[in-house]
Amino acid sequence: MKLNPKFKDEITKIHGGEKIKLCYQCGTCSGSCPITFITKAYNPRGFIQMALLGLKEEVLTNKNIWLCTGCYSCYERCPQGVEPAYVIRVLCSLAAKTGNIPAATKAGAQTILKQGLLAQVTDFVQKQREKLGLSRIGQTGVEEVQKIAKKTGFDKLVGL
Amino acid sequence: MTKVAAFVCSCGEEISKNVDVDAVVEHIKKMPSVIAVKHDSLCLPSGKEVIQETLAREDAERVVIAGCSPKLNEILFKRVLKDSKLNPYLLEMANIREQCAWVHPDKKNATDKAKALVSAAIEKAMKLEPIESASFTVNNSVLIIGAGVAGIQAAVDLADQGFKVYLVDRNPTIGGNTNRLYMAFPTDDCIFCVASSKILPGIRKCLYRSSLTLHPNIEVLTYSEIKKLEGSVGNFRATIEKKPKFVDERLCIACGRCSEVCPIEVPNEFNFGMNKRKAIYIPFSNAMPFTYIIDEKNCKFEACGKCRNICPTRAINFDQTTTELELKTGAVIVAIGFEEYVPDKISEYGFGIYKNVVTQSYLARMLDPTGPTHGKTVRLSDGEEAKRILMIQCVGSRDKKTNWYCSGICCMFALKHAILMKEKNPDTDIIISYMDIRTPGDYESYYNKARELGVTFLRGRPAEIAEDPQTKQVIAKIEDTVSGGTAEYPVDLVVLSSALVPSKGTEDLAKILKIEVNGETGFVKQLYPKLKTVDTRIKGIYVCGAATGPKDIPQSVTEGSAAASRTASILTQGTSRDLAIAVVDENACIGCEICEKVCPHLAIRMIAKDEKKIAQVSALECNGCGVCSANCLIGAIQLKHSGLEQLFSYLSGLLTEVKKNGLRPIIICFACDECGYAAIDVAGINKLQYPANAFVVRVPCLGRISALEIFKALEGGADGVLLVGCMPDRCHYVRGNQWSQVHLEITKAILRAIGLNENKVNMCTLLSAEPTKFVDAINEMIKNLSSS
Repeated sequence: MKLNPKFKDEITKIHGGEKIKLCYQCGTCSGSCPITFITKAYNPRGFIQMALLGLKEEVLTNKNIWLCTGCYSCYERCPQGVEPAYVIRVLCSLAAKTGNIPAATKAGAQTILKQGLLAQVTDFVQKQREKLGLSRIGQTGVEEVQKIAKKTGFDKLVGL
Repeated sequence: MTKVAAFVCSCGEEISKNVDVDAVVEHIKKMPSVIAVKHDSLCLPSGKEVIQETLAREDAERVVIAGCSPKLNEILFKRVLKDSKLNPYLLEMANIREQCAWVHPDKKNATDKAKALVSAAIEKAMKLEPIESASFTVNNSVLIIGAGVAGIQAAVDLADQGFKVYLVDRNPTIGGNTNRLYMAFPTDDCIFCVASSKILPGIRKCLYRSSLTLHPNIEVLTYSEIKKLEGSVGNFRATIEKKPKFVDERLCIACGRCSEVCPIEVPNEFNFGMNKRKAIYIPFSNAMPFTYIIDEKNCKFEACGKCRNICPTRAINFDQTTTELELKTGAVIVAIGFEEYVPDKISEYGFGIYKNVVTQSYLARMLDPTGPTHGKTVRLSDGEEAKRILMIQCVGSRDKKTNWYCSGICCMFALKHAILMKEKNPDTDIIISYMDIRTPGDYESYYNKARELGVTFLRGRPAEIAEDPQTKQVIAKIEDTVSGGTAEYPVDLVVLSSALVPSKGTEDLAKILKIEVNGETGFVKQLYPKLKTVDTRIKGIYVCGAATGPKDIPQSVTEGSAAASRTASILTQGTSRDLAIAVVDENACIGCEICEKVCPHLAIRMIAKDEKKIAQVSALECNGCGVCSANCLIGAIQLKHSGLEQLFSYLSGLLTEVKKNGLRPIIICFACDECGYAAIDVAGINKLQYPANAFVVRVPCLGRISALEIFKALEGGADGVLLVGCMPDRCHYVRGNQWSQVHLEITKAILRAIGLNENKVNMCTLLSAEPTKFVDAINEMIKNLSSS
C-alpha cells in the first residue's frame, strides 16, 4: 500500500474537490446514499477517507467510484459542506485521466459523442414513433458536443 | 527652561560594552538645562539613592532614565520619583539596552543611536505633564441578570461579601435551565441544588429551601426584565419591568387550592406539553419563590374568579399590572444562560413531525419521577414504554448548516440518561449514534459505565429518520462507519442530543447593555477569551456561565464566582485610578461624535455644555489607548500621557540627532506598548541583531497613530515608518490596531497621490513570542528603501 499524502492537495485544486479536507467521517453521505444502501462496495465516505489517506492508486482504480447516480442527497446533508457528490466526480475525472474508465461508461460516452444521445435510437424506435405520429429523433446538437469533446480532449479520453 | 535630570545606566557592562556611556553623558550634558549622571546599576538601592540625591540637590522638574526597557523597571522608577515628591508621570525612559546595546554590535552605531534616544527622551520629558489620581464614589450594589446556576452563584458570593444584589429573572421562578434536567453530573444528584449562603450552614441546598429570597442582601425579582441601562461603571441606572403574576408573592402559601378549582387546562410548557397544567399554577415543585402564578393568556379572570374566591390568604389580585422600577447599581452581571436548540430545521430527523422523536430535555422530564410520565420513558405516540431507544449526538452542533461549534455537554447529557435508564431497566435497548464521544477528564467514567451497562455505541451520523405509519416506530438510517455498511434501525423513541444555543433575546439585551455578541455563535462576547473570560468590553459589566457559550454546571458555577470576584474588585478597589486618559479641549471640540463612535470601550459620551454639544470622557472607563485622538479631525481630544506635543517633541529630538549621523535609511517604528514594544524587547533579550537604522517610538496602542504622526516622522527626515503592533483581533484595546490599519491605508493613498513611494510606510503585526518578525520587517524595509 503506497500512501501519497499530497493526493488530497491535488483534489482540493480541482473544482468540486476544494472542501475534501473538512471531512470528519460522520457517514451522513453514505447513510444517505441509495447505492451504499444496496452495496457496501460503493461508499462515498470510504472513498473520501481513502483519498485523504493518500491511497491514490487504490481509489482511482476502484471501478465502484463510478456508481454514483448523482442524487445529491450527500451534497444536501453533509454537515461540513464537503459536497461529496462533487468530490466523487473529481475522483472519476482523475481516474479517467489515468485511463481508468469502466467499459460501460466508456461505451456510453462514445454513443453520446457519436449521436448526441446516450441510448441508441434503433430503426424499430423510429418506426414506432412514426406509427404514433411522433417526429423522428434527429441528431440535434451533436456537432457542438463533438466540438466541445475535441477542444477538451474528452474524445481521446473515451477512446475516439 | 524646564530642568531635566538625566541618568544614564551602564547596567554593569551590559550597556557599556556596546555603547560608549561616557560619550552619551557628555553629549546630553551639552543640552541646555540638563543634568547628566552616569551610574552602573540604577535599579539597585545605590541607584535609587543617586537619583533621589540628585533630584533633591538639583531641584529637577523632569527625569529621564536611560537604561533597560521601561517594561522592566518603569514602575520602580516611578516610585522613586514619588518618594522624591515628584509626580511619577514626569519620567521618561530611553531603552538603550534591549533596543540598542543588545541588538547593535557596532559600537559606533550603537552609541550614536543611544545619544539620539536619550536626547529624544529629554525633549519629550520637557513636555510631560503631571498626572494625578482620582477617586470615584461607586454604588455598592450589583444587578444580576439571569438567575440560573451561574447567576445564583454570583449572587450568593456577592451577597455574602456584603454587596446588595438584585437578582433578576424573566421567568416566574429562579433556577434557570437546570430546573428541568432532573439529575446532575458529575455528582449524580439533584439538578435543582444551589450553593448554600452565609445565612444557612452546609455546602448546598435544594432550590426551594435555599432561602435566597430571605437573604438580607439579595432581592429576587422574578418575572422581570431589564429594559434600559444608563450610566457607567460604579453608577448604573437600570430600568426593570416587572410583569404581573396576579398573585401576591408575600401572601401566597402555595396551598394549591386555587389550582384545584381552576377549570382551565392547558399544555404544561415546563414539561414540553407532555402533560397539562391549570391557568393558575406553580411552575414546578421546587420553584423559588414557592408561589403560584396566573397565566395571563389563558385565565378568564373576572369571568371565572374561582381561584380568587377560594384563596385562604387573599393573595390573588386580578388588578395587578406591569410595574417599572429603577435600580441604582455599581455593576452588572450577565448570566442569561443558554437554551436547547429546537431541531425542527433539520427536517430529515423529523422532530416536530414524528411524535416519537424528542430531545434530551424531553427525556429528562420523562425520567423525573415527579414528571409527566412519572419516571417512565415512553413513546409519546401512545404512552407505551419505550423499549428500544436511539440517541443521536451532535444534532445542531458541529454542523455548518446550523451551529458549527461543539455544544460541549451533550455527550455527558446522553450518557447520563442512558445510564439512568439502563440502571432502572437493564432490558432497555439503547443505541447512541455518535461521531466522537467527548468526555474529558473524569467524565470518561460515564462513557465507561455506559459501555459496561451494555449501551450500544454506533459510530455514524444518521442520514434520515422515517416513521412506520402503522406501528409509529421511528426508523433511522445510519451507516456504521466502523464496519462500513448502511442499515435501518427501527426504535420506539429517538432522542436528539440537541445543541446549546444562546437564550432568546441575547442580542436585544446586548444592545441594551452595549456589550457585544459573537457574530458566529450569537453568545455574549468575552473581552478576551483567554484571560478576561468574565469581562465584557464595558467596564463594570461582567458575564458568566452559558451566556458566553455552552457550559456545564461546574463551569457555570466557577464562572459565577469569577464574575462575583471581578465585580467585588471593581466595587472595592477599582474606584481610584491615575488619570492617564484622554482629555477633551472643550473649546475646540465641535461635537462631531467621531470619538464617541471609535472608542473601543465606549468611554466617550456626548454631552450638552453651554448650548454646545461636546465629547466627555468617562474617567473610570477610559483605558488611555488614544484611538479617539488619532481619529479626531481637529485634535481636540488628546492623551495626557501620549499627547501630540509630546510625540512631536520626541520625533524632532530623535530625528535631529539621527540625521547628523548620516546613517540611512532612517526608519521610525511606532510600536504599541503591548505586543509590539514587547516583541522588539524580546528581540533584544534574545540578542537578535538588526541594523541600528530602526528607532522605536512607544505609543499606548497603534490606534493612537494617525497619518499626522506618520507624516510628521517623514517630514522630520525619516525615510520609512513601520507600525509595529498586535496581531489582528489580538489588540489589547479590542480594536485599536484595526484603526491603525485604516490610517496606514490613508497614508499610503496620500503618498501615492503626491507621487511618493507608498512602501515608505508599512505595518508589522506580531506576538511578543515572534521577535524575528520584527527583525525581518526591518531588514526588508531597509532593503526596499535602499534600492528605491
